Amino acid sequence: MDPIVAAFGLVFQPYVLLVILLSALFGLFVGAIPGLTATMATALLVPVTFFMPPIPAVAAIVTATAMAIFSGDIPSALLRMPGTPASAAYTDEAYLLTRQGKAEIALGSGLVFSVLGGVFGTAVLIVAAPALAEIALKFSSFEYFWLVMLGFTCAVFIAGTDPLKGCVSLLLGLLVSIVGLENPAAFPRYTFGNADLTGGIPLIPLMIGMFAISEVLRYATRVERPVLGTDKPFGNVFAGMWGLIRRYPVQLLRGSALGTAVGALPGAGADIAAWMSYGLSKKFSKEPEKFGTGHVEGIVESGAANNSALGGAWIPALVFGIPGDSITAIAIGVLYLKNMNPGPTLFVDNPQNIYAVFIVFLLAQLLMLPLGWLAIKVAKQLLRIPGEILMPIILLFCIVGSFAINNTLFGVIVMVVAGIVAFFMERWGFPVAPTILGVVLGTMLEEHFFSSLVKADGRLAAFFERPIAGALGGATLLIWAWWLARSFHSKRTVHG
Amino acid sequence: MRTVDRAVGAAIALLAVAVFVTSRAFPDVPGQKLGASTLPGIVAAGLFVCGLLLVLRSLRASRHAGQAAGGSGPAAPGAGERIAPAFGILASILLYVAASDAVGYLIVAPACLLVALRALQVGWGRAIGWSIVAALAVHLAFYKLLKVPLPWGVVPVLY
Repeated sequence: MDPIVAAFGLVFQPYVLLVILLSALFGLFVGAIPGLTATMATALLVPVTFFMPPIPAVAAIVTATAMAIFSGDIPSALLRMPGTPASAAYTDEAYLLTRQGKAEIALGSGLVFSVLGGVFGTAVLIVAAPALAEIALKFSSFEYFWLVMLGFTCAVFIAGTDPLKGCVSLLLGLLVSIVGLENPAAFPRYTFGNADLTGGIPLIPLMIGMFAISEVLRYATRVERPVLGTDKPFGNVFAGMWGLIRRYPVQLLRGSALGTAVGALPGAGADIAAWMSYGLSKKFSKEPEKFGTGHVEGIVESGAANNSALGGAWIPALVFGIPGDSITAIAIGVLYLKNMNPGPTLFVDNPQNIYAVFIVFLLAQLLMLPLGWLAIKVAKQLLRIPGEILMPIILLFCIVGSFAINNTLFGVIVMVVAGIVAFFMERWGFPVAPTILGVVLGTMLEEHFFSSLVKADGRLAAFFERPIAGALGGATLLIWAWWLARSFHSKRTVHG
Repeated sequence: MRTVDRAVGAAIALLAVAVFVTSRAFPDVPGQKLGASTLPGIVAAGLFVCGLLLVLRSLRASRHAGQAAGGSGPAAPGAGERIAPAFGILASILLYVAASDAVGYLIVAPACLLVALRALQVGWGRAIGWSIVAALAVHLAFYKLLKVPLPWGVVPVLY
């Protein structure tokens, strides 16, 4: 059977469609509640997707995250609190619009440009991923080694604000990946005689801890509670949107393109894409003085960017098994659990599964319009749900979810330790994304490093002898050299 | 943050030394000069350098800022923070880990929820009500629908 027809058959089943609808509602709910992020939505979904076949499992994650990134705009506009970090870049702008009585513009532009950006990111994913997979089929361990190294480098030097702390985070992640039997000598490393540790630190409870428990702890330590920016009923949120599309086509395209590219960079996700796009929008705007006063232009560009980043992040995740952001890092864990191991062979062996993922992406974007509109309509009720009730319920869900992965309390212990560590990392300015990347890619790095060295008989020059490996290695080293030169220059400027 | 960076940097450097020393005992792959100790060795070296750089950077920042300004304290709760509820949340998780197997989900989970809800200052009546309802809903979802073997403990198997 034609793989595209087979893919439609895989997606358009009552069970899968119901999963998509429910996860869309779940994503909208999680995104709309300040403190519950899109990554947390993914982490909370994993214990449930664990019991699903591969396609509905991936569909649940894709749909929930797309919805959550959009609905993060709702509390931004109404409470001046971003529902997810991806909305933080234009929170002030959206809230000021609401205070000026233009909540419909703030929420409508968030919704419409999220959909358009999301469709753009999906289109790039559909075109780029199979083409890249063709090339990746020829990759050897040398190319994979450098891809992983380039991913680490991007996460530390490009995505982060403090490369030194990013480096520490990454190395801690690699240290976690070292635990267990999975190494070239199959020797139990740092297991301390504990049978649970021989399989390594379980990824899903670790993610639930780092993204959900840390958030519950942060909520518990917070004192201030937000106040709604408007009490008036909303009008038509789609009014004037066509005018905005005609007025800001360049901003829409630029935001979508930058968002997709940033999303594809390992370690950098929707939040960084939104910040960069907002900055770019202001820089190239004809009315930069209006930014920060309730101007919609920045929302158009960065709203498109954060949703397009989602599609972008899936490109390296599906083709190389290298996550583009924290969400795809969790998704990769799910793909492995489902025996749908990411990599170029997935495109050859099971193309119907890949096409099914693409269809789900498009469906999620299209569903966003009616469901997003619905979410805006009930936004005020959603935002009145008391966090002090919700958070303990999420906590119990996390506990049972972590237990469910292997049916042992070991998962719960990993979850709570990871949650405490992530809480303090965030507090002390250490980014969490590089740690996740280190944990997810540590084994892959070691495997490719080891087999490359054995193939090359210990000769390091062999790492640069194949053209693509040489280019990837050169790019990695260039970023390191650029950072070292910049640090040296800024030190001289300070002392000079 | 400078004081925190200094303490964290020193702790990371110490951790790196421990990793390096312990990893020396890991075996090589037969016939190779590499093995289970290669990656831990590289990670330990990287962590050691980063730890030292963190300490040096925070010392230099302190010197530039002048001692009068001082370093900001290590993670003292600020005006917009309260610390006790976080301990309540952690206590709730530890209660589940310690007691769920022996006592059973249906008793421990509502107790955990009650601890967490009270830690977040929910009134007794609402806290008790929500604890029972939410714990039963989660049990139904995971035990009945997803077939997760949540422990019954001292409670007889009901369904």
